[in-house]
Amino acid sequence: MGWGGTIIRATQPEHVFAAARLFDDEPGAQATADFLAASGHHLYLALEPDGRPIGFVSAVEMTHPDKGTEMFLYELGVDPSWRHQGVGSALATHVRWVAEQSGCQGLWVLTDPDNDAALRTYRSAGLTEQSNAVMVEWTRPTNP
Amino acid sequence: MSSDDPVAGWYPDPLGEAELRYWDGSTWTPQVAGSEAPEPHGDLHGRVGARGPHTPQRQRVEYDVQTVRVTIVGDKVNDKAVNSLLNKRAREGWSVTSMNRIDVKGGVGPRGVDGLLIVFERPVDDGQ
Repeated sequence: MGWGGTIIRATQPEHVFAAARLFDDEPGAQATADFLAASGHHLYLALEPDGRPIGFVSAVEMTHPDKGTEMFLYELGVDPSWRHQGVGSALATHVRWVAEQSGCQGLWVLTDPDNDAALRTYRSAGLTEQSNAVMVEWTRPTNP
Repeated sequence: MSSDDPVAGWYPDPLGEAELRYWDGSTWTPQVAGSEAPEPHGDLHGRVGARGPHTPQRQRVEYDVQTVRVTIVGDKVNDKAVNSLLNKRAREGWSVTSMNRIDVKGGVGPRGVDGLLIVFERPVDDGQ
């Protein structure tokens, strides 16, 4: 196992922009600054041996009166040419470790029931399926 | 760096290459223990880690071999105790060269007492 690289915490906007191609959309300057400054917000990059980002995982600590603080694994992405080499598994394992070290009561993530790759990745980090959740959402309409 | 970061220390290796790896507070470093050290890692700035390639003018070093008894449940080492020991030695300037699981007298059962043979290394002055 192991792809020969490492995992670092993204602390600077340039870290995020260096990994921009791994995100669904282009990171915004303000949102990036807000994320990096916010307490309980975590973003880690997997680097290949020459230092180029090839994967990322983001996670946010959420607190509820009856549950204490839990870690929500927000997104995880790996460069297509680096899949099946343990990068996603290492990122998920790393976030679970951060949750443990931060005193979180648990770690949770949502994925589709037929996303076998994601399920394998999360199982490899010791997570187990809890439900077939359905996501229901509202999105602010873009102004014409 | 955010105050949310786990503190620096030796922890189970999330990269799956060794038993323990050193987290410096924001990066998993190339320093590992419990198996062969892999090739050095770069980072975003292209730096090479603390265990970088050997150079011809190698620093003279001294070694110290230590055997510790640890509780092992299944294959999992009681990493708190090992973490504490390694960080104590790190503060004294020692770094880990190798760490191997060994048999210790009296080690029986699934939650047995087992041993770790740890080799430490630190630079010494040549006095020249």
